Amino acid sequence: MERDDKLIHKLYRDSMRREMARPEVRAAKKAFIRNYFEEVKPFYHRPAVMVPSLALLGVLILIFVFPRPLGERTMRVTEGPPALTTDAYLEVLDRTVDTGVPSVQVKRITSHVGPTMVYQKLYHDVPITIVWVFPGEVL
Amino acid sequence: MKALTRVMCLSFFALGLMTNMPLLEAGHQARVVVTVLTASNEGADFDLDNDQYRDQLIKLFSYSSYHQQNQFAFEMNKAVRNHVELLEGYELTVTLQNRERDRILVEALIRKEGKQYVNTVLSIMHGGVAFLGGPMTSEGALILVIESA
Repeated sequence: MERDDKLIHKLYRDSMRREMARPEVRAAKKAFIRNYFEEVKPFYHRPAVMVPSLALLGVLILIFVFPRPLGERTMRVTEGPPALTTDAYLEVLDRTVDTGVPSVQVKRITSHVGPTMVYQKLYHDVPITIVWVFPGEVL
Repeated sequence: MKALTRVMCLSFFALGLMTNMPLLEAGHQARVVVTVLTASNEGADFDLDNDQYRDQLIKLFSYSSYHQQNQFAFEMNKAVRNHVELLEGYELTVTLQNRERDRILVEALIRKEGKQYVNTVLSIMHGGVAFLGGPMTSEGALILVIESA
């Protein structure tokens, strides 16, 4: 008798295991849990918090990424190296190459002492503008 | 809740607009750095603060010696003339004529004893460099490196 009980117990257990392992049963279990025991999302996932946070992030980017214009109406003599770093200069060269527009364009030139010349020479395949005057010379 | 969110978004937008309001006036200001050099064929000295200029000068000109005489940083306002003495009577006047996006329009005038040696208007991309030279001094040719910083 005891042996029959064990056999029946094993049959039930195997049968239940196979049944519960079926994909549709697993999906139904998940759907049940999702419907009746909804997961509580962190507070920062709520729109009321998320949207203002993103807006604040945008404001901070506007403040810190974009350069502020200079407010001083002054001129001073500097002793140190120029403000343009090599990286910044290379960036200008890259932009010049990308756009095909020279970083400098001469809009007007006059001289009372001699002829002038505007020419460009290539520096790292980028045209650099040179404005030159020849005082006292006649072309 | 939606109304509260809208109000907060509008508040942040207004705050951002106010803190960046000077950007709307950026078309009237710019910074230009002018480095004053003399170049000659006497000796082979390079007396420059910026090595980037050294490489450029070697490529662009045929002088053997370059000396940095001075450097000026102009915090320019539109239509305001900035005037400096260069050397040996040469004077430089730079004026910001306009600023559009990443370019500035600068008038540069070199004078000596009332004569205009060079009067030019340059459109310079932000970070761009132009070389302006030719007037002679006792130490060689005067070269100005004009840079939109």
